Amino acid sequence: MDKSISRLAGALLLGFLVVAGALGYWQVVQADALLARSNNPRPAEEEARVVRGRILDRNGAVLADNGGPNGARRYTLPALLHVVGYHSPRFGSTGIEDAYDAYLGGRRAGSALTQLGNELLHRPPLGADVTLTIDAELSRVAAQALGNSSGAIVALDPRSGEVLAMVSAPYFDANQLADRWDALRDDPSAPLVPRATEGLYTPGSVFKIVTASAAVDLGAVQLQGAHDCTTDLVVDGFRIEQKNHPQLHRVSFPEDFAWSDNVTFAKTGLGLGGPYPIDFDDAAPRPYPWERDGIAASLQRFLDYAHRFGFGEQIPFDLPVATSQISSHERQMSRVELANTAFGQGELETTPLLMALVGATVANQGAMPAPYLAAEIRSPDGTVQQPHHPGGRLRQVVRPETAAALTSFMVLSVDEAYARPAQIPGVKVGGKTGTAEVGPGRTPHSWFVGFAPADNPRIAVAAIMENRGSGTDVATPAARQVMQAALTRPAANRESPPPASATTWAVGNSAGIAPGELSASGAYCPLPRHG
Amino acid sequence: MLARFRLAELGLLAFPVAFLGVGLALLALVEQGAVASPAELRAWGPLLLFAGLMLAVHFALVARWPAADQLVLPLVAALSAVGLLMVTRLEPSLAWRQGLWLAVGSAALLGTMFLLPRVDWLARYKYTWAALGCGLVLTTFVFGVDPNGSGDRLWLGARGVYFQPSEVFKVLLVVFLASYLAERREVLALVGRRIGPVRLPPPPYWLPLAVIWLLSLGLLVIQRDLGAAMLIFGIFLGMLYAATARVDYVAGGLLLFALGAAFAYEAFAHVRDRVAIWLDPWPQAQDRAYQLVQGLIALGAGGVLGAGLGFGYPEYIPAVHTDFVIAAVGEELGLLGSLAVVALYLLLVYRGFRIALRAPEGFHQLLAAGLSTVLGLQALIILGGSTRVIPLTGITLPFISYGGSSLLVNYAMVGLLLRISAETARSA
Repeated sequence: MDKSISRLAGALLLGFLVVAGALGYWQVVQADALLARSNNPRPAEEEARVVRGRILDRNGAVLADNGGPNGARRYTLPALLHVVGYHSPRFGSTGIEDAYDAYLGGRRAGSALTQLGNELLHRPPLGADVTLTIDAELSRVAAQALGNSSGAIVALDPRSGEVLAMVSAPYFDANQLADRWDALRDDPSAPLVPRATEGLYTPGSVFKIVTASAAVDLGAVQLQGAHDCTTDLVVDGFRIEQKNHPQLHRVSFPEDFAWSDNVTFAKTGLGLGGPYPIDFDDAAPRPYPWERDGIAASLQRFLDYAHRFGFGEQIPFDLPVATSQISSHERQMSRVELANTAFGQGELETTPLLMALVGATVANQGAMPAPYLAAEIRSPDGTVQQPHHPGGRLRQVVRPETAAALTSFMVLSVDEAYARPAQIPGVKVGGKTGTAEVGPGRTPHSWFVGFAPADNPRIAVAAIMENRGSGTDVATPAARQVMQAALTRPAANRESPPPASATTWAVGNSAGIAPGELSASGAYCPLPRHG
Repeated sequence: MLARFRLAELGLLAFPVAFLGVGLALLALVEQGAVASPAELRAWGPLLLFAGLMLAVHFALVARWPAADQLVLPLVAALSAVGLLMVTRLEPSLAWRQGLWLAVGSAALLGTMFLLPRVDWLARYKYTWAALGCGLVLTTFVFGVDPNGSGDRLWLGARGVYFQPSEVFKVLLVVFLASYLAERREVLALVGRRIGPVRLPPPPYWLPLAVIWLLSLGLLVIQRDLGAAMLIFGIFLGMLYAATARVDYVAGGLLLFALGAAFAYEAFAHVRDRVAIWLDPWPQAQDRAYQLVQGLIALGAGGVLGAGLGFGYPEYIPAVHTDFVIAAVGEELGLLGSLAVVALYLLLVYRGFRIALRAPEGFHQLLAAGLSTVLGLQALIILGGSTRVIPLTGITLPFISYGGSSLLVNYAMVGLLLRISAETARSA
């Protein structure tokens, strides 16, 4: 009987070994797969233990904290929804809440030692506070200026790249996200879309800043002297109407800019390939150079400058930014398309943020500032990090002299032409309006891009109001309110501009070819792609 | 003659007591950030009670049964300490009750040892035990109640005092089988009558087999108690094999069980459910397989080192403190902790069989082997169920799960084992 009892014991012991193996299988081999299951409540529990960091504006005003019921996330300013974002276990995270989640959620808050200590002692991590460059007060003004319009206003300090206000409308109160989710998702006005950074709009005439910058930088246009400008231009059978400044018959290039003349800008785009200066006169000899020589050289230079200004490029920013496009088929653009694109139509699509950067580039002596939102990350252990350097540049887009010329064009526009509603008493303002055609039978988008004071710019603004018509009547006064308010805020009254640092974009032209030399050398360096 | 004072046992008992003390201190630290002041006897009461009980049993053994096995009590104490600690962790309000049940269990252990005139005495009344056991089960079939709303009427009793008859039944079965098989070993080992090519076993084989088969099927069908059915049939087959060394009997028994199980599978939806959950729990992870899947996730969350006592989320597992303690142990103490628990069972079963092998031939041997089989098999059924090795069945993890009748009966079984080892040593 001893033998059979031993065997019985052996069978049971074998059973325990099988169970031990199964425990090893679940606890080690399958552990990651099990933890990744959606019905694992642990991530939500861990999340609930974390005391999430606050989001503050540049003056310390609370934009997001944990003051809601039961310590829930609370948002104080709906107008900043698309900047601050929301943080929800059910609906995910957006905005700064998403971009700086590792800091706000405590996973990267504080020194390595603090983190190790928290882990060893099972202390729930404390999130870091993120201070933004945003001015909550100015954002309120921007939201009011937008009124009931869909659209966006972006305001930044052209010297430092600090984004002071960035409002996308429509917005909603993120505190009611859970209650209103279905309605928000199905709302045809798309309140979930952060238009300032991810909305892609036809720029219309505000794009003339880019075309004019290219022409001036290349030396393709004479700034003095006037030409007759009364007739339409027909490009390959496509008629571009002469309609913008009927009261003037002899105009200079700056006046063409200020009065937003499509014929002159079509000729500018088509003529960038030379010969210079481009002859804008009605009586210019035919055939036009582009009819004789083709547009290969013009297109290449046009695309080059558009890319310099960030079109077709990934804009490095704290939040995801949609890539603006020149055309879906840049290299194969026809003459008609180039002519239309040169005055801001065609297949152009841009984000309000990029147009604000275009304005800031002119304001910042031709250097595009690196835009940013997160100024400071302050961990509970006192560690302070600055994720960005103020005054960083994405690229020297055009020569400072070109920027100075463009500034004078834009001042002329505000002083005497379409951008007059942007005038601020006692302050010199530069600006450009846009009325972007969005298809037959639909009211155009109303645009304004500008900066102030023109002689020492401290604020650059882009405003777009969807389907509101004339840029002059709608977006320009809205942007003026924001600029005027901005100039009274502490941010604008810092005297010394923050120190400039190295450019973020490693740019071809800084490696040998200065802007303006392009026409002389005829050589183009390929622009680096980012993203 | 230092062995007389059972110093090995005394020394080994220090470990479970220290383990429980450290564990309770950790829990207090996790929950309050400080170890409770000594004035708060409430927090430390269960520890003092536990240490006192184990020492009392130890000294009782020193006084009366100095030659009894010295490893069994420390092993049982270690498992009980894990149980008391986990109940304190999972259901703090039940900690004191678990402590009291340990006291009742210790009393049952000592009572069994002291009140039993001789181990042989049990063999004399084997048919009494058999009748009592059958009566209990049949009574539960008719009068079973469901005091805690689990949906299954597995309890007997009234007015707040309930017990699970299947717990008592398993011991009665072991005692009956040990004496029945010890008496008829020779007869059973013989070849039965031939009818044509089929060789029938002798009636002493198939008569009790038929009764036990019916009872276990009854448990399965009427009570839906798959775990008890498996346990009871497993005990029978194991002891039959130990007594006769006949593999064909075991095979025949397994065949019958398989037939019964197949019938039950076809006939009863709840059996089909259990099997379906076992085969593929994932699609039903939010409803019927919720407990199993949450248990497995808890095991995965523990990893090798565990989340730390008090830092896991085992409360998401339904019935974690009764059926699924191993998942809580695995989550908070890690693979190291869960394997330690398995190792404790393995050692306890090994020690039980060692007692069986050393005992005098016959009843003593079979009884010790049967008791060890019960403990081992019961642990295996719930551990295997929790780890998806076999279909999950609701049955307690001996000494660890919260539950009165289970602790009482298991401690009484340990008393029997110790008594057998003590008599063996005396007769040697």
